[in-house]
Amino acid sequence: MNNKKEDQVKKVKAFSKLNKKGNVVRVIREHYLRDDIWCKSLACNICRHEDAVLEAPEIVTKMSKTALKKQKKKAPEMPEVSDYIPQYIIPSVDVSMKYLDILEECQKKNIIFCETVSEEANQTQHSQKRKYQRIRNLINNQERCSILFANEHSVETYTDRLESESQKQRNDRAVVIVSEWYSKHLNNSIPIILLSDTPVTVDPNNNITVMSMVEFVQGNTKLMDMLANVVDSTSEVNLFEEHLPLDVMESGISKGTLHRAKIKMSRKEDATVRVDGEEYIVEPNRAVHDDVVCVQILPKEQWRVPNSKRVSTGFVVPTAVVVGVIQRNWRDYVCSILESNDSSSNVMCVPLDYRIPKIRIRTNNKQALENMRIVVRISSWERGSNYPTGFYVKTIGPIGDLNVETQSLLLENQIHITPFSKAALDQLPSKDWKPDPRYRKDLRTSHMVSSIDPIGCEDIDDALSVRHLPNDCVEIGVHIADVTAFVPHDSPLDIEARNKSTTIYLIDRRIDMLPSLLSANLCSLHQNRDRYAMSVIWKFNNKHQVIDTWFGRTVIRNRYALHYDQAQSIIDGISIPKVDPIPERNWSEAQIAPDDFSQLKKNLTTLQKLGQLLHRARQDNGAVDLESLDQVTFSLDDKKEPTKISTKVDGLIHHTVAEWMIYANAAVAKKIHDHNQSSALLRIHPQPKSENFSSLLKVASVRDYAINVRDNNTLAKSLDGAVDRSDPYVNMLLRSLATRAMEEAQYVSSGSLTGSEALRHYGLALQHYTHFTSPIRRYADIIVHRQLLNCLQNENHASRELFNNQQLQKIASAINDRKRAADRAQQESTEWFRAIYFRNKSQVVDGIVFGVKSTSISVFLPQYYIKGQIYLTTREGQLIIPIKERNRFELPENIPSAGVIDYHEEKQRVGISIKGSLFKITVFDHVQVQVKISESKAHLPQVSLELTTFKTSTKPSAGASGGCQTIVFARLRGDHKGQIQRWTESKMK
Amino acid sequence: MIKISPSEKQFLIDGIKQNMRTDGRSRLDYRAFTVETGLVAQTNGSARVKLANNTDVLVGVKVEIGDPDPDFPDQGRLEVRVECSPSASPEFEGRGAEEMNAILSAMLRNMLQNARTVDWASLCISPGKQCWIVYVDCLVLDSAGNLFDALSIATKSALFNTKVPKIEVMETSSGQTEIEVSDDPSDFTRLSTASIPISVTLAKVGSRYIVDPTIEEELCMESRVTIAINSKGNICSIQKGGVSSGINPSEFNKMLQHARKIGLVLLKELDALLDKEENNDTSTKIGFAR
Amino acid sequence: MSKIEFISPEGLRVDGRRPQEVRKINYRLNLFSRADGSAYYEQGNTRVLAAVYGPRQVTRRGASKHDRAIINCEYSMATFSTGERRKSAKRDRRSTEISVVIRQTFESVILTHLYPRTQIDIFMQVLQADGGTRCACINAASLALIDAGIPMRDFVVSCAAGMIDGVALTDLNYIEDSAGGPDLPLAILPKQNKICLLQMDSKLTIEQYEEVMQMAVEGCKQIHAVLDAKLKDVTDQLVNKRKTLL
Repeated sequence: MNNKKEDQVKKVKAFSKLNKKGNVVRVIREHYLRDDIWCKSLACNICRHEDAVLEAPEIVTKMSKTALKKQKKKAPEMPEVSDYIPQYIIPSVDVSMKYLDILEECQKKNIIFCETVSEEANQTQHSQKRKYQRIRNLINNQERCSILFANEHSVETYTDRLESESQKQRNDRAVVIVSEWYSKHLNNSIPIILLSDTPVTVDPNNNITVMSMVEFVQGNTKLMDMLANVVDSTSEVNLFEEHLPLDVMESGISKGTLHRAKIKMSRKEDATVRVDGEEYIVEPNRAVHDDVVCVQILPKEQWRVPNSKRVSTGFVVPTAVVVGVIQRNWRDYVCSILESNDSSSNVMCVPLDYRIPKIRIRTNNKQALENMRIVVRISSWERGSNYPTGFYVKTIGPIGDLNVETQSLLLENQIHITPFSKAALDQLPSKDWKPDPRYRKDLRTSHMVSSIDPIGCEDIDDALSVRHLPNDCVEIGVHIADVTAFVPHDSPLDIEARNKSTTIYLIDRRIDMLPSLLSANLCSLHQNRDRYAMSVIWKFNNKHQVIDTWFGRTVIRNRYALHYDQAQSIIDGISIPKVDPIPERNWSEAQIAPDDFSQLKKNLTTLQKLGQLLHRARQDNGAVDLESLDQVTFSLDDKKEPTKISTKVDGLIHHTVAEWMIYANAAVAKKIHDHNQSSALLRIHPQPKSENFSSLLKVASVRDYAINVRDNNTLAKSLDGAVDRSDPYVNMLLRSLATRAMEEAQYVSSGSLTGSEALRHYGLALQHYTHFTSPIRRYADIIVHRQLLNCLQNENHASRELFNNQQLQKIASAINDRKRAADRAQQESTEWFRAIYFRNKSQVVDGIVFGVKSTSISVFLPQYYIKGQIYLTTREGQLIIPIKERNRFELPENIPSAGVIDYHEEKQRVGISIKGSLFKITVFDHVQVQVKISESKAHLPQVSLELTTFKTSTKPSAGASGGCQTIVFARLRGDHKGQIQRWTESKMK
Repeated sequence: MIKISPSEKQFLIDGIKQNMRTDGRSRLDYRAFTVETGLVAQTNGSARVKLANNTDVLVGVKVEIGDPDPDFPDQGRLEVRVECSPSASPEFEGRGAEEMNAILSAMLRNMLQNARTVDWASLCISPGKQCWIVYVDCLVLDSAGNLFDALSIATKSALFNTKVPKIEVMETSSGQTEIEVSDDPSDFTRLSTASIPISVTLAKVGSRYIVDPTIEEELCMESRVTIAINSKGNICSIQKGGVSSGINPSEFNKMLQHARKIGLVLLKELDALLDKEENNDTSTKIGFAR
Repeated sequence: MSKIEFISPEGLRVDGRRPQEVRKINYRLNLFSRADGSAYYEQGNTRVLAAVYGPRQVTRRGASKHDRAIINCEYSMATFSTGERRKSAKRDRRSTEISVVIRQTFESVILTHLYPRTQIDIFMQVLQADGGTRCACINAASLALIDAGIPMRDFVVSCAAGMIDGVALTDLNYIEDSAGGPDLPLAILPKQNKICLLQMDSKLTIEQYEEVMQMAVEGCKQIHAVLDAKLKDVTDQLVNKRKTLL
């Protein structure tokens, strides 16, 4: 306890400060200088050694040469002991603030932090874990032998600020004084290293070396990485504007000066936001696709031309600016790393999704990640950085592997495949389950039930029955697999199914919503098995009007599980070749007993005839039959490589089955809606907005077809009339364009929409519609089954539904989202397989133009159902000359071509003139297209199309497949071998 | 309570008639005074004046941010307060000094409240909203006569010594003003005190008048005139006090002339002293311990 | 916001003192001409003036005591004494409380029975406040009384102690005082080792109290040593001035 007051000098620091009330107050502080601040070095003989920490040099006693030799002989493996002279490191204020993590990592000992530095750390607010705390931890770590030297309170090292210098310069000078003091104090016996990036002058007599950080980390690659990484927070390079704080944004939104919107990035175009129905282009300012941002709409004078128009049209478009991000919607991104040669631990990852920017991550294990698909998450995006920073989560697998790419697709669409939980599997009944016919209508012997499905179908969820009654009445029954009998509401199995919401069909695999024991066995209406069903049975009179409808739980036996062609052949009386059985699926063609043949034929014919009547009735009401022409089937070989792409056409029998399913869905919809207005799960299809039809009308007008888009009736009728006898594809394409204009059909809880118009299904022209017929692969159907049961059990009084309107709406939205994600995943899987198919089989096929823009044309390839855009110019505006014209005009490959493009928007025609020859491409022309793929490691390979010649023809060329029937949408079912189609529902139905 | 006997009084008056005062001064001689500035670090400016080690006055100036006078929205404000400490006289204990405080405060206020004494416009921060308010607080520690003059000298010195911290007014994005104070203690602005007047007190004792009365002389005086003179020689305020008879106007003029002369001399001396104080290093000031 | 570290791991307080160290003290006697005794006392940045009048005639007739002198104390703070200007209120509660407390302290120390029917006034003025004003005032008043020549039983010295973050500290300044820890002003008669003033706020365990109390006593002793040393010098000077020895 040293109390020599006369040695202490007292200083008074006085300054003004702003206090909490906003007033300026004078603050005075005393500052005592002491003479008892010890240097804390073991090497010091002057100070007391009680708590000395810094190491002292160890001088090994000099042994004589002979003694050394002796020691070596005795113990040759002992290393040579040499003198150990520690170095004392004194970091300056700047170095400590900026490079603290390097100091922590470098494992060097004997670091002397000055009190000046720790005061600076205490004041300035940097990251969460204050630098001061980290300095303290470093000092407390005994292995580091580091100290805090209280230089501000030591009479020997304190210095006042001089007139000419700033506070910062004074601090730097104080650290220099400390280093000089240490050196002198220890008699130059210990080398002192002063770490400073700014140049300082020290007295050369002392044993002080001034090092900059670069010199300090020399030789240690890890530290050199970290050095390169240091984000200089004081640097003035800010590439982006600062984001506004949340409260300012919210007040702006409520005032109306700012708007909230979701930002949409695009691969080739500018990022856009939609405010009040208007679209604006924006500079993202560190917003990532799907983030909810706050934008300010710029005044008209500041609108600019979009960046990414290939040939600048010169027109300004509405522009806005992103002033802040309200909510980040960052998810897991599948990426692959960008190859680079430098060995730093910074790696750039390129996400699979084109719309996400490259992400910078830090890893030590770069080799292991090359050529792999990895999952990366974004953690932040600073102002001074071009790219966001993120971190590695996990590796999926090597690029190009089928499983890996499939998993990547699913992950990108946020579909997580998890095996069924034990709790769910425990709920399943045993394989030897037998149905219990109590409380059910037993139709096993009274009705002849048969099902019609694709070849090889394992999960049969619907079956039909026909009974001819006296007086020309007929009773038709639709029987749907009763899944709700096995899946109780809110059970673990139910909840897992709800989370999955739908079975996902990828090209090579299927991801089931329910365990296969149910989906392929106990629920599925297999031939000659007794199964539970939910049935709808109508009685029609001789005028084909419904006189009775019965709903209820039944037990049925599916007598004959037919396939489509088989059923049609029975109706037509034409025999077709037998189909081979598929042992892996336990499938073989149904053998029809000769006694049942005529009965079966009568039933199927009745179904078809009545079905056609129903269809016509809907058409009169305005049903629109549309298709999008993008479903193909792949034949895969053993290695799951696609060997064939085939398009198939649906026949009459497909329509028949579909019609009865639609009829059943509609009947159930009406039933549950009547019983419960507020929370019935329905499927709606809103009327499309008139602007959606602009491209259809433009194209149709070229051939003078008048398409009336006023309502579904007029649309259907006018589409039926828009036919070109010589080219069946014209009508097909017009229908396809009409499909593009359609709104998305959605599940909705009936209470959340007002007005009867809102519940209509535009495409099917039905007042009420829902999904009822496929509970094995759709969760919505399970809910509808339960609602129907609820309604049947409580016929006469209102009952408590399982979900109220709000809950049901939430579930419906979730199912819609999952369905969208599943559709996207399915589409991406299709594109991937398609690209793999064309990888080694580049070929020229016939294509039809269905859209013309100023620098590109849209073509459809009927052989493969491929739709794509062919660019006529490069990004810079140079005309791309197809190979045949190059040969003809003898133009060399790499010289930019002189050609002029002339675009007529109303006539949907583009005229190209090269070297005096004029070519014209109009919509509905047939062109020759070269199909290739564009390989890319970071992204999935994609099909790319090129014209081989500018010459067009108006008739389809010889190789094109065609058929005048209405080509209907096909969707896959089943997995790898033997692709089988089944017509189910489209985007609209 | 100082009391004086009639004979003492007579002695004083006679002495003054003969131009000989009890402490040896002539009638128009001023006592030697010492000025020290910057004593109280907690204030923005301070000064201590001692008239011949008897009268001791300490003035502290603090500046704060506040609302301006609605009549003068673009000017700063001044608030003057005098407090007589009971150490000066036991009768100043409790509320005894109230009257004295009021008189002294009023007099100082008269002198300083003028628009020309200090550049008030420079003390405005944002017109109509914020300005600097200058609080002048005087503490009378020891009283041996002529408090008026001592106070005025001390006030002028304290204001001369005042360092107003430099501030920056910023408009935040939400439209509010924010003030940032410079941390640097050498970042300040000074007040322009060149036009601040000082007062000279003349007391009429018998038929003569004297300058700078001591407390005994104050007890004998008939009337008192306090005149404030500024460096240009202009008269800034006049106050007549005292209990007995009035003053002849012609005599009054003569008093004014004298006061003016003495005032100018005082001012020059004071300015010289203040400059010296300014250049003195703070660490050599001993302040009270002298 | 940086949390203030009141005592660093190296054992230094905010201003560089060690926990048991008292701030720098300086004082001067006999400043004023009219007061019978006066003292200027500074402890760190706290500066206090004390003036003593008396023994003199009692001003309020009814208050005089027939067998002893009455002590009258007044404590006031200058408006510019604190960081933020305070509206001077001589009669505010804190000032009254401190005045009463100090009066009681001195009543027990001054030999009042020597001056019946008189009044002794002690006036204390705080010029600058930086923690420990009440203790500084007591010390200043003691010195002023000595300067006035009023007989006392012993020198009254006062020091405050407290505890922050588990460490007992002597002589808290304003920052440490505002930390919210316990504050214990103590006045003792060093030679007789008797306590004449003890106050405490906040809460302490018994063991902590012992420790803090010890600190305060040590602090008082340190102050006494400083004051005493200088006082001897002053007295010598005075005696020499008179050139006679009584």
